[in-house]
Amino acid sequence: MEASLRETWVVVPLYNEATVVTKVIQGLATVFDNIVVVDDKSTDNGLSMLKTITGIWILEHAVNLGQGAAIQTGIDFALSRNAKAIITFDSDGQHRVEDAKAMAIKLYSEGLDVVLGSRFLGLESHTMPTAKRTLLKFATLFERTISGLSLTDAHNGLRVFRAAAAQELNLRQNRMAHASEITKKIGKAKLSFREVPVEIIYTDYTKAKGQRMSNSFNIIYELLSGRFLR
Amino acid sequence: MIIKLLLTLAFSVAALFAIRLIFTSRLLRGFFLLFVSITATFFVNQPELATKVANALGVGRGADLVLYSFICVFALGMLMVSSHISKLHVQITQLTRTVAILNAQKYD
Repeated sequence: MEASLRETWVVVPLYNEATVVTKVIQGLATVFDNIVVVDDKSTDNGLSMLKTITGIWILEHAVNLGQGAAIQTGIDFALSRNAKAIITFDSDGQHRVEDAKAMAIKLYSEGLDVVLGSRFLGLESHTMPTAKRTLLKFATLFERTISGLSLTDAHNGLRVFRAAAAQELNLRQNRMAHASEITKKIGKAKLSFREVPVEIIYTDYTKAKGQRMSNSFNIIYELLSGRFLR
Repeated sequence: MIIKLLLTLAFSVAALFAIRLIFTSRLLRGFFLLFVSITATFFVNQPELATKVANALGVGRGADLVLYSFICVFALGMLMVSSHISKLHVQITQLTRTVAILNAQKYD
């Protein structure tokens, strides 16, 4: 298991999280040896702060493409370095390193293709705003009709993929609709997956920065045009 | 009427351009533009013809027919442009990704 964890890569998409990203990466570095940060053309100085940390890979997008694109870039890079499994982890401090570790261990010990974090499996966050909780429940229902998968949390950024499963992803949705694309591809490729309770830490900082709820409309539009225009 | 002359001139230039497209193997676009230029020239010089066609199709005036046709062509054109822009986005993504991976750095 130790050896497997050492070959597990953590992909951290980054966009303007200078205030917290250093702490996030340092936390990850206590458990994981291979961390790749993909900076999506941030306009703050988070990247220069990260460059003082040794041992992490840093990739930079020359233009801002979106979180989905940053994740795919990180996945491509990790796979090229023979990652055994890939964890996607947010750079804003909402994810817990112990959850990521537990999910990776579960992936290996149960021979799963994918392990997904869920906010709604018991570790209910006391800090989640009610409106957001309601919207997420609707999003989950929407996801079920699109992908056929019964997930409790469709838009959770904490995920672990076995390398072979990650190779199936090839995300084309660059922005926030990538979450729906991931769910759909898991269903389509019939990958084995489990949802695991994780705790998402909502702070005033993340609540202020989080996805606007009206972004749901953008996501639906991107999903529809993705089907018809390409 | 001067407007008829000017429009006929404009459509003649378009027809020449269409012929050029045909000769450079862009057949679909070429023939389509040629068809549009010739049809437009006819209707500009014989407006009664436009009205007859319009009436046959159940539309009041030639100008109305032109308007409806224009709306359809415009919508189709917009879809084609949107599709092209989407393809450009995919190319930009692939380029950016390649550059990012090529310049990957590990700070020691």
